[in-house]
Amino acid sequence: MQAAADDTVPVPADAGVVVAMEDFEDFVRAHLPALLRTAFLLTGGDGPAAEDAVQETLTRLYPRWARVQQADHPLAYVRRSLINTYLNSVRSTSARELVALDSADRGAGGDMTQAVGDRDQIRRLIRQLPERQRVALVLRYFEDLTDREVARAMGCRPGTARSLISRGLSAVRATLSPAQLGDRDD
Amino acid sequence: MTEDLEARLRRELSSWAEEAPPPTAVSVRTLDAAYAAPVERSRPAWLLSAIAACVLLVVIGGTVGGIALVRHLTEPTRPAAPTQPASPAPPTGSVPSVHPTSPSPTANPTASASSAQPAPAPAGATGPVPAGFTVHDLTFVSDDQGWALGTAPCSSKPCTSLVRTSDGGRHWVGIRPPVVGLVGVDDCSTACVSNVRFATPLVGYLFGPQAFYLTTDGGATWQREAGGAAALEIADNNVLRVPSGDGQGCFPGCPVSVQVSTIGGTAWRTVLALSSAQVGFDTGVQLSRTGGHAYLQVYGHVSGGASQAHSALYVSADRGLTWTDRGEPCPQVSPGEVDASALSSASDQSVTVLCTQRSGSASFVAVSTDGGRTFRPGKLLPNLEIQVGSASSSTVFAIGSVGGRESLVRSVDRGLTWNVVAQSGPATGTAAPRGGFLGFESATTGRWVSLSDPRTVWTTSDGGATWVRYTFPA
Repeated sequence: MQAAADDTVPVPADAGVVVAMEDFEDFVRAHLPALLRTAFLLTGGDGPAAEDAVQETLTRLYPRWARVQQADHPLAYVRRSLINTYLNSVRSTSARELVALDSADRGAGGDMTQAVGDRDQIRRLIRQLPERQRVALVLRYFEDLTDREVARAMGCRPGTARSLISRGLSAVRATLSPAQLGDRDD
Repeated sequence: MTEDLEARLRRELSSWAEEAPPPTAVSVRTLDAAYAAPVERSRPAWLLSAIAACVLLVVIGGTVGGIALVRHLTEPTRPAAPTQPASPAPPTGSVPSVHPTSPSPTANPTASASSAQPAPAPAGATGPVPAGFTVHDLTFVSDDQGWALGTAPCSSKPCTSLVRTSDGGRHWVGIRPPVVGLVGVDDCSTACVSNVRFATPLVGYLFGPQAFYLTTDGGATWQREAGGAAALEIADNNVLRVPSGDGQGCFPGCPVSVQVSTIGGTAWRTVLALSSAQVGFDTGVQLSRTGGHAYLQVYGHVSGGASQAHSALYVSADRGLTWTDRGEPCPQVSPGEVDASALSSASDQSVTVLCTQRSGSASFVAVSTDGGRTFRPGKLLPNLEIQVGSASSSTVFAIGSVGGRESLVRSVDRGLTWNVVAQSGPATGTAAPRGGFLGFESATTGRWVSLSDPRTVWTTSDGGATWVRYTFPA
């Protein structure tokens, strides 16, 4: 068998670990804003907690970024990891969150115009939901995921996801007045 | 009403989400945190051109066999003669200098065996990784559990250090090695180690030309055993080692033998013994294993001598218990003599050798898929010295200098075409590489430690297409 000599080793301009790092940076640039918005809603409007959740999620995934890229839907993979990060953090800080809810509740108990009051009330109701119900509502009505996609993101069965969504909706509906339910924002 | 509520929720959530913090600050913090520890940001300069000294070639595709370059041996053992005719008669000429060949990267082939076992946490005290730790050898028993042998600046020599990871190299802790020197670092007139191999999370070996240590508690304690080892590989529930000599050299060459023991055992039985006459002017041996197959390559003297410097490949299909001599594995396709200079094997039973022109500087890899009977050559690569690691029959890795930088290159077509997949620091330009590691504990997970930056462990989990790095703190 002939072996042809050559003067150069064919080498592309970019490869290997640079590809992995550039891909990670590209992903962060492209998707971190959306992930941050999702995390903000998951945390019930807690900006610092949302930033921490996103940063922790992406930092932990970086060493395995090649594996993330191999997933069918890397963004969905990262989002699921974000949800796990948030739920795990909640388990360890649930006592503090109750205090924050009490403060928010007191703050929203004063005079309000109808529109702003309704908006704050919706947000307060969402914030007061059990975490998994809030996560399910955010995924369903903000991310527009199907029940099956919500289930996959939360690591549960579709039936469980539907139940969480249904209970979340019921909790919100039970508190809002019929007029509030029929209102539109200005 | 439900529909109104759902629409309301959508609007409220969308509106609320716009009040999320701006992404810039957290983007910067995220990138900094991701790159700072344990993975460091890397911006290699991708320059292409000619090459130099150290190359390490690893061929992957399945599980990887192990490799170790070895010193000469001295003690002949009870013969277990090969079934084939002996290798060529010893050449005449001046006595070749006996020089230790550097330990080459080795992937621990026992991943599949040990991964089925529970992973007990090794006992014993741990501490921080010594500042300035540099890696000389690596061993992994799974994607997550591994050990690195190396050295770090210390006030009282020897400074041989051992560190351990349980999460695939993202975090490391220091464990206490025996007080013993390190080849290439310390005065090895007495005991020195050069390599580490673990069979399970608890059973491991530290060895060198005149030292052999065994641990059965994950490195918390070490027992010194008799003799030393030039190579040792673990697979398929036994351990093969190539005993080392006394470092005094032999003429015309040192006998070579292979011994077998159980994992963690201390009784060794010789399964292959090659006399000086059979070995000739050898410059070392290399041992590679995958599953039930084992390969021993005895290298001829390529630096001089009037006679040919062909290597001899011995193969075993029964866990090292019996061996067959296949002779020089490299096809003589290039003008002039071509000699094998490195070896690897893979779980698909393929064997890959690095073939180097005796006169000239070109090399190519050659792959066998029939147990070493025949080898198919890849492309001749000038100015690239390659050392073969382990193989699938298609995917091969080499380490060389490209654009003046030590580079990891990859071929997915048995060495016909190559691409750079990672680059380290300036090429060392040394003809006899010391340290460095390239190996895979599975078809997808592998590690690289470059000679130019031995504080950094590069890890791939996608078969070598991409790599991320961890740098031990200075």
